[in-house]
Amino acid sequence: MEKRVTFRGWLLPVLLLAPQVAVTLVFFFWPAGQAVWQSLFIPDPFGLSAQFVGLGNFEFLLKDPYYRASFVTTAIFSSLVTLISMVPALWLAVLADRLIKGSGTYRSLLIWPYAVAPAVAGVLWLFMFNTRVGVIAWYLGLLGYDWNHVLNGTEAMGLVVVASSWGRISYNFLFFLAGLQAIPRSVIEAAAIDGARFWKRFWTIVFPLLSPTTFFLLVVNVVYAFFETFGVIHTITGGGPQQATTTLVYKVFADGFVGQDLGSSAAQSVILLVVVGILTVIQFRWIERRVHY
Amino acid sequence: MATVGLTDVRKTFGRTEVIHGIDLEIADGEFIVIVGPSGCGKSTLLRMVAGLETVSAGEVRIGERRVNEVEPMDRDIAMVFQNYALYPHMSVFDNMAYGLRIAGRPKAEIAERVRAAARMLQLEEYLDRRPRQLSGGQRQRVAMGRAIVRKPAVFLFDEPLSNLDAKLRVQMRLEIKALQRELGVTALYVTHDQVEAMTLADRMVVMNEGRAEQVGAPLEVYARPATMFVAGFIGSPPMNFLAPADLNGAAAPALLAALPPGTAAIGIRPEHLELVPADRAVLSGSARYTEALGAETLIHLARPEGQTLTMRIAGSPEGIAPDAPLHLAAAPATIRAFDREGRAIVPT
Repeated sequence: MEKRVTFRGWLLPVLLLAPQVAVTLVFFFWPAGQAVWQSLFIPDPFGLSAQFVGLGNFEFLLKDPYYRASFVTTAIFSSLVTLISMVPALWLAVLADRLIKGSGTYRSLLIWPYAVAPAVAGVLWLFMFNTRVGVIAWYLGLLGYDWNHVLNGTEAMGLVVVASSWGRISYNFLFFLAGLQAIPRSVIEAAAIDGARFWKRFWTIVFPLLSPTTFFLLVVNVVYAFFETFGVIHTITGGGPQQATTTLVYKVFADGFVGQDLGSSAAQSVILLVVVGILTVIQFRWIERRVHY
Repeated sequence: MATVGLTDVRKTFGRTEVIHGIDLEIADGEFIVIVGPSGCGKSTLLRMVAGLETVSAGEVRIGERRVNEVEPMDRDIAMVFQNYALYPHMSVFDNMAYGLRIAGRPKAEIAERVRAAARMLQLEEYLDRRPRQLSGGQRQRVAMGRAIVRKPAVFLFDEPLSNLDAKLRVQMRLEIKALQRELGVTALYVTHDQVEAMTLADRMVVMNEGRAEQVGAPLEVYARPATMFVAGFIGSPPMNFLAPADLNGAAAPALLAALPPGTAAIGIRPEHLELVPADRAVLSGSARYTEALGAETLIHLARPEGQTLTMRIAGSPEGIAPDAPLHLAAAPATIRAFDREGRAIVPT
């Protein structure tokens, strides 16, 4: 028996597919096509005409030390955000999973930060670390540490990383907890009877069985670190100081909309598209092989 | 290779007591089956022996050592779970070797012991497979293998056969029994299936609502059930229960006189009912329907008073007409008498 539903005519399937196809065309292919097209031109300052330069924009970008620095910045930023948002989330989920009393309250409290919009989260962290009025900056001052993320690139990077990761911990926590609870109790009990103590069980049984969740979160968090941290960076550092926190995505915005260099901005978008494509392929081809479903 | 002792073992969840004091002494190498309906506390009792549940009161001993506060891993036990609880990301070999590796055994010894267990369970050609590539029966064997390789003092089984189909269940039942004999390990086996209990047990514990209603050898329990619950639970089809007043055949007065004083209910096993002429009958009824099983036939009778009776006779006799009146009797020695609390009255 044919298990799939088959349509007799072509009209209904086309109609059913149309909305999805239309959305993809209008919001992905069309802008992506525009970006590719624009990356081949340099418009004049008033946007009235554009001069065709071929791959000139790309050539310029790849020779630009600031652009290359932005690559490194993005790599550091994304790795740190992914790491800092996933490791504590897993830790908290493991603890919450062991909890019997009051687990509901504990979980709700851990999920709250996710409800805070990235830009608002950015402002919150900015207030706490503000060099003049920030609470934490003040305490650090008492301890003899002169916090100034406005001048110090490393501190600025640390601050945007923490602000970007904070709300994400909640999101990852939810998935890790659900993943942990999907592992059959009896498997853990069997391991306990086999002689494995808590951490041994965690590394040999729980963590491998959690790998589908971990893999999914890895993909989602890298994408988040690339694209959705714009608000945090924009509110806290604006990409500074001296471009220390200018990620590739932030640079697209800064060069295109602040610097009005639309040709270069479009070229950067195209490069970004390629980078994300490569990352996705690597993640699914290489890491997924080590995942036990 | 160890005795197991339970002394007044109790379990409470919050304020509800679910196990009301179980006493049991298990000899070295004995096969004990705990049998009872769902929710009678049999799995909880087993998990307390395993150390997966805390013991609320009383004492659990394994090999004369109190183990109430001992971690599962230090109790020298192995457990086979209902859903097998295999490690899905490991090969069959690694599943079996897991416990030995944690114990830090040398590689050669691990390989030797796993192969020996695999040979015993006919799993040799599957050692490289993952659990999901195995059939239900094979997974069951891997779970057994994982328990065997560790050479524990006590085997614990938590309904290990209930996920298998009927045919495989019979086969695995025999294998479990043979294996336990061969290894001489003390075994504690939980099931809701009375056939498993009857066939596997050296002694069985019939549990109901957190109490051990009867402990004894299977045939002893079958022949002399201590309570009406046990009488109804062990045996299929179950024992027929009647009030003494229901006995109204020609031979009934003589039988009633022979019943011990205080009899509130009598029980007759289906195979103990026989067809007799009217003048020797203690009961009568009419055949509603018959189930011919080849070797035996089950006759379901309706009584004028409204109860139904089940009788079991050998072979497949012809000529039992539907709704024809049948006259029944049972040898007095086979009739069990129960008091008003449902406890068996032992003839003195």
